[in-house]
Amino acid sequence: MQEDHVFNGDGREAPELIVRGLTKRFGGVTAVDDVGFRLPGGQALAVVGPNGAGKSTLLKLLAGAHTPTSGSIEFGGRRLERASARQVVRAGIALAHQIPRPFTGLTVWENVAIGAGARGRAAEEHIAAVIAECGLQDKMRRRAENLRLLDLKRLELARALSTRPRCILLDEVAAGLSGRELDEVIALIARISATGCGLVLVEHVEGVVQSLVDRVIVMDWGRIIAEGTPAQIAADATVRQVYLGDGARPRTAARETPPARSGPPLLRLEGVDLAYGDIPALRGVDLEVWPGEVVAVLGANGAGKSSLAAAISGAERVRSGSVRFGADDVTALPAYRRARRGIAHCPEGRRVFPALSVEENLKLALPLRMPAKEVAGRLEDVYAVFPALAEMRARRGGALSGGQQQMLAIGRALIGRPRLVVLDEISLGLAPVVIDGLYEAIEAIRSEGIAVVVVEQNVHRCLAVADRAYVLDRGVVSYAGDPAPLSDPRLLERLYFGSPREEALSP
Amino acid sequence: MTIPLRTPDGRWRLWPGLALIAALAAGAAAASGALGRYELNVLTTMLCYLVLAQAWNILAGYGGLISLGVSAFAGGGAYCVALLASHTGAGLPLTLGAAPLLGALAALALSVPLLRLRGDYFTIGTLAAALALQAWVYNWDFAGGSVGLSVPIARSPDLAQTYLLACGAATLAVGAAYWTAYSTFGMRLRAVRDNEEAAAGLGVPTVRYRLAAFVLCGALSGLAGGLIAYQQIAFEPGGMLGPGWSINALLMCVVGGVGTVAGPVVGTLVVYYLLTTLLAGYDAVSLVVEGLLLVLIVRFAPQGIWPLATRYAGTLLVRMRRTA
Amino acid sequence: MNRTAILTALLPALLLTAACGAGAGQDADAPVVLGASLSLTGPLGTIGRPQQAGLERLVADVNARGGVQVGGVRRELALRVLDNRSEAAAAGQQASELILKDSAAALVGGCTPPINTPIAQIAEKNRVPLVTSCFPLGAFRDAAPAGGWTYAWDFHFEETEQARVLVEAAGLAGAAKKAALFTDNEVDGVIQRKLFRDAAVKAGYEIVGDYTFPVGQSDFSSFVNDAKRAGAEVVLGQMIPPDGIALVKQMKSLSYTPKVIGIAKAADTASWLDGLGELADNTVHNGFWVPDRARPATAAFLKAMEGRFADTASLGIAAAAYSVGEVVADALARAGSTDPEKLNEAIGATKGAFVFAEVAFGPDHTSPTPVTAEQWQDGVTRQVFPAVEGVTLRTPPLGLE
Repeated sequence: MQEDHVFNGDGREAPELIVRGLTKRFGGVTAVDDVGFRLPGGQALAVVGPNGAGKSTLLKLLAGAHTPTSGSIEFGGRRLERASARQVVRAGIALAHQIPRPFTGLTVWENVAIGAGARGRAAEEHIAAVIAECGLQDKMRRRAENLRLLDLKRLELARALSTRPRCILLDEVAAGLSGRELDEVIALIARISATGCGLVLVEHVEGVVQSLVDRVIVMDWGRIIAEGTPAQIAADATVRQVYLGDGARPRTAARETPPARSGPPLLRLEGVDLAYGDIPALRGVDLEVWPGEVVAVLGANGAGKSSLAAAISGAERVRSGSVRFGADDVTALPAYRRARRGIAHCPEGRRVFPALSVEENLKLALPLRMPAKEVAGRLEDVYAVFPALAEMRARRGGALSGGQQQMLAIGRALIGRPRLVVLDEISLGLAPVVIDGLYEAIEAIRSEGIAVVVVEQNVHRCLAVADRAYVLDRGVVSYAGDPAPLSDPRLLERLYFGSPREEALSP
Repeated sequence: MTIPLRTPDGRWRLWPGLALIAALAAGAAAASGALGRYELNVLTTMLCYLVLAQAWNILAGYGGLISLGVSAFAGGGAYCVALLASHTGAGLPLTLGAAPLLGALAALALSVPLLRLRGDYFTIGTLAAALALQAWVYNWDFAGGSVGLSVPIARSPDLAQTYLLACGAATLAVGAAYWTAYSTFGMRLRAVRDNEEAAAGLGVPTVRYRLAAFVLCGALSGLAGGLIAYQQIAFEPGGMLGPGWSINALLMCVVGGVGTVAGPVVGTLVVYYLLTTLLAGYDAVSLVVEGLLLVLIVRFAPQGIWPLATRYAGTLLVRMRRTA
Repeated sequence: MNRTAILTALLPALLLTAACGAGAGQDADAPVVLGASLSLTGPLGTIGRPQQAGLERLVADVNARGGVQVGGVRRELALRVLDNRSEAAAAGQQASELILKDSAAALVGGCTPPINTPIAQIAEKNRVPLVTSCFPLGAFRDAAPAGGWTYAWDFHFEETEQARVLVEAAGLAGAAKKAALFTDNEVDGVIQRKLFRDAAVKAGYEIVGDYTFPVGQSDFSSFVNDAKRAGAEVVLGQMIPPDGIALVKQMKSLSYTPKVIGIAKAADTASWLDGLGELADNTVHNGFWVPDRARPATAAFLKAMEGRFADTASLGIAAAAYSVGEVVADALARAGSTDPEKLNEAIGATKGAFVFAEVAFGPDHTSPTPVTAEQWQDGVTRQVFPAVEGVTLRTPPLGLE
């Protein structure tokens, strides 16, 4: 039996993957736009880019989960662009999803056995080998619904490997991992790669990309904007711009009345720890917000930005530390009671009710027994901030564009007359001109004396309005204070990309 | 070389369980001589219900497809038997062979519109199909219309023979459920149930597996219907094609434990024996008890009595070992 | 899962032991069990309850006389009643239970063809006699297995007679021979429509209107106007009481005045009078029981049942059930045994007058009982056909004028 039995069933060199002009449209949105590349057999390719760039869609197209609108996929001389997911996996391409999707009612063994196909002693040996390789041998009798995140990630990998792929597509398998766990996964992927199995990797954790791949392609808005070796990409100015925002808008440093930071802060977090199961998301975070100021929270994907927003709003319970709002300790209060005290949260993903009209969506945030006159007043206040919403107050939420939905979500947060608004990733997936509109609204909100916490990936846009900024790095505050120095790309790069790479590369 | 009884993840392999089921079935059949006429009749009814419950369990518990169309298959089997026996003079083997075949064909035909539907829509679709069939038979004079049909008494088996046939059908059904629970087929079916898209991504032909479960369920239900026809002799569309069969199958599985082999057996025992036999004289009470039982089960043992009992027995066993 | 698998396998055994109930003992002087699956609840509940009353009365009467002389032993009768909730499937199952579990010597019937058919089939299968009424003879014959009934016996009216009698009663009014038919489209209605047509055509009528409608129809105005335009002087119908009441009320409001209104089913019971009040006057319906008050047994039965039922129809149902029991008791005595074959033979040889009617079974196991036409007159129903001394058909009906 050959040594590479586990990963590459027949031991032959993996075939070449050739992608030409691949395009996928969902309705009017072009998620993947004319993407082409060649991946010689057994090589590794990384696909990077900001959220919403079309990376996951690209992998799903390659895996046959989506059918491309146009373009071709060729693998070992076979055309696969019209093949079903089943046919693609038979052809030797397997996908490990970003969010694990185990068969919850099946044991780990069965989950792996599904992909292994054949029965009998040889298949059982193969399954056992895959499970052992992925470090799941102690848990193979467990039902997948009882696994923790790390094991689910391992299982997702094991399942992809069970099909004896000759090219494996990995969608952010390292997301949410750190330290030893991250090293383990990187080592596993390296072993897979070493067997001659082709590898397409979508990854945010820079270290993974650096250490594993031969080539990198960078995507934004569905298109390939740069391509090269990892070193070339790291030095590419366009790439940095994509990651850090366009910086086109000059910083409005000349604020006429910088907020008086006298008196006690409106919001104060002290030593906040937050974790999902065993995965820590925030570690000892301190944060203060004074009335009427805009605070930016920045950081790479998975740094804990949204967790921080959730800790403020009460959507997640903190493990330790305290959250004070005004004069009170609100650490133990659930989200709805914090909302009554004046903390409004506008979560990532908008959460507009598609069947309700714009006005109904707004009214939902109001108490049931509010006088009609008061309701009308509140609505007018929101329409004053977002005149566009007033024009379509009768339209269904689902019929709005992404930017309009985001306005509606912010409007819904404002209608309760909060003292603090937390805005989570409001510019995600929106066109620059739309984002400009949203940031103008943030200025308007501040002018009302409301404090705003802006959680953002779009660094420059965000820094332009912020009074102070915090940068998170894997759950820890790595910078707090004046936003001005962050405009220096070198500092930001160090805060953003610096440390994970060093750590990951260390032996 | 020893033959392993279990898979590496600790689940039973197929053959030990199937052998055990066959042995027990042989035992049950051998007991027919010792049973009185009434017991034979009651057990036959219960075994028919068990077949329906297991068929439902295969589709819902392992395939994730909740059907309210049991009557379409069971009733189809019954009508198939009665029509064949009275019009062609076909004997027992032919009619009882045709009943599951008809059930399977009906499932195959219904799969075209129904298997495209998911979740609640599939459930509603099956109910609609069953009700449509009932409405059609009500007006189908050849099949007796609303008056219904009778199987020729002269050519129907006696009580003991019917019981033996029911034993055979129940063995098939429990065996099929056990096979579904422990075979590769069942494993893949459960994968399709848990996440259809991911299963397809691992090379499982999902539509084929759902179809197979549906057809298997249809065939077993049809067989049960054929036996019921021979047991009841006379039936009419109101009862034979009504929603009662679906409700009972569902109730028995939910009470006993959906997605386990033993659950429907326990459920059939509890629902049929306790409620419809022990409480038969007290109709109002039996309805109240039935409702109460269902509420209690759904609230306190949503997975059913069987998984609860095995878990409890397991902890008890561990405790006993510790004290010993 | 491992424990599960073992226990799984053990369950059929449990199932067997749990299902073993106690069989009833059969002593030579133990009561003779009559088993009945009746529709005490559900849509047929108004029929099942008088049936139960009639059967209970019979058993009480027989036992008060010291039971039945069966061979050398006097044995009491015991009645075992199960409620089939008006469901045919339950009726069949209960018939099995009454025979196999309660060791009933004979079954005594329920009501309506759908309920009685499975009971009769189960009786045939298990070779235990069934005597029933409340099963129209044509339907009884149609439900017979190939080769005819062996163990099932039925005394009731002939459906053709029912239609003929109503048509003949209408003929007494001297109206023009133009008839309009109103029948619902359920089984009973479909059969009755054909029978009405045949009987009316045979009596020389022209059918000028033939209206069918689903059960639960509330608007008859277009039908009524059409019948009025066509000049139908005789209205014949079959429907349930609420529909019939709606029909007559609309005839009144549209000023349609036929000479005779003969309605089957709907006009039989007291609910007709309750629903229509004065409008019910002079409507014609079928009567199924002509009590022979001169017979002491009938007089005693009537006295015992006095005030129990709101209408004569229910009383007739009770009387029929009483006589079902009488037939079985009579046959038991003549057979001198509870052996099903002997008992069955004795039932077949029944010939005599009972409370409900005279019964003598023909070769097709049926015994027709008389059917009459009755008319609501001043709040009571009186026989108008065949003619009775001192009663004449009143016309036109109702306060329609």
